[in-house]
Amino acid sequence: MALNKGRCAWVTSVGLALSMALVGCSGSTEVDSTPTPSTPTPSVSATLTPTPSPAPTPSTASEQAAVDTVVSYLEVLDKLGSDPESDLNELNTVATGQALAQWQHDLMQYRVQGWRKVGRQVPAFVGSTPGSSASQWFVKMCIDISEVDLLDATGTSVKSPDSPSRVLTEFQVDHQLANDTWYVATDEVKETC
Amino acid sequence: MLRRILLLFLGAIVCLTLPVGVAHAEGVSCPQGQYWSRDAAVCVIVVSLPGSQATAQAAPVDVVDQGGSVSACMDHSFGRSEVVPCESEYGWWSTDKFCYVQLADPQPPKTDAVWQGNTEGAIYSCRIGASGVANPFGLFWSASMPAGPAAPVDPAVVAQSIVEQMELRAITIGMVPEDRPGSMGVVGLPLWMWVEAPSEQSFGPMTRSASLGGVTVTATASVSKVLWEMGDGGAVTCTTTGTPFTDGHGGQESPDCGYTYPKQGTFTVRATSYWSVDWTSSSGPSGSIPLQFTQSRIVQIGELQVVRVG
Repeated sequence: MALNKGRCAWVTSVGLALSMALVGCSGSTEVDSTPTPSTPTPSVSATLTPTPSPAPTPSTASEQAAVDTVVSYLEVLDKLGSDPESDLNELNTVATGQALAQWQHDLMQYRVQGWRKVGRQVPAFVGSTPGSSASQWFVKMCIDISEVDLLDATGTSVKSPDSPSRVLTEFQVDHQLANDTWYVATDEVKETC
Repeated sequence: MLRRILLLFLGAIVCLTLPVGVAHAEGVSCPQGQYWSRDAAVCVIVVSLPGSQATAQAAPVDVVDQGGSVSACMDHSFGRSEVVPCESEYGWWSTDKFCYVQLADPQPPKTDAVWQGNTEGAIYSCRIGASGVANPFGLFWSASMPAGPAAPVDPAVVAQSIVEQMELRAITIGMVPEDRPGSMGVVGLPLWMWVEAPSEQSFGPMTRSASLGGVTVTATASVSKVLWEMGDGGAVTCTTTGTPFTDGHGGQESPDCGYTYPKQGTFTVRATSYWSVDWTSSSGPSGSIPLQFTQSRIVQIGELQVVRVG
């Protein structure tokens, strides 16, 4: 299969995204890679204006498990994207369904085209809602992608220059009862944050 | 052939001028059938799951081959969209996943993470087809065989065909009181239920095999239980065919499948047999097809009254 790297020009979006990207991630909590419930950081306002509302944290064990799974999932994506020698099947430990199919395909494309990802996605927990059963959560993260880049074999960025810095992404996270494991089933960027 | 070359040429032009896999994004919104990639910051085409509606959006175009009209296989990716062969050494082109898929050989043990706790279906490899690239493939679990113009016979389809040929059916209800005028049960007296003249078709087990396209599927059908709903709100689950009543059993309880009505009346008894058709295939995938059949009959239950004479 012939590769057309560089032949088909990127179609880039225009300035709107950039201006939207300047909007901050208020009300979110950056999630440490260590999966422990995050706690609000006390804030002090010198002008006694209203302080930011406490950052949201998962409130139940299953919600925490779902959030932890999203964090692990993003870490695995970063790792597999940055190391073309890594085993793509690691995706099967954190993703299933649509998310697995999509990233399996995209990561293969990176490798075939000689692309490599640098930087990492930094998620901040925004909130979550329970799904249709006790074994499902919809988790929202504001993800800082300002340090993420996609480089071709010559080291040239193939990432759109109009990329926002942060994007609000919703993940459907499902609990597979058969092996008592949580998986990201869908991964959809909703808007900037 | 000339038309095919022309179409391939047109496909190349499409690739050069209309990057199907990449689209303008207003912020991070994308046209239907595409999603916004956090890595590339562009819209790329959605890889759909087998059988999902999104598949249609990336449906292959028709081209004319030497043998007539065939479905072309299109690869949609970052900034390109091109016709690819529908078969390669890596398997058949999946129109859902945009990669060559084939049954993983050998199949990983079911304890492997790739199974994700599933015990049926099979593990397939997904590969784009470039050589000399490290690890350009991934494994995935699928309940059914991924579709594609050059996909081999799906053993699940063969299994379904076997099931139809088995002509499985409901049980024939065996019960005392019998199903004839004047036959009546009595409140408080044990009633016996059984499968009348059980056969392969009515209770199993029945094993059949069929081969198609080089794939052999073997299926075994059997009843796991019969649920007897007695019509008065009571129900009994029996895992055996039950024991036929004979005159010598008068007044005794059935050893394995019986019921006692607490009140008189005319009741509709429903016997539902639950089947499981477990199948395996020579190509690796396996599965189970659940079926159920119901038979019913009317039963009359009366009350025994003692009449003193004289």
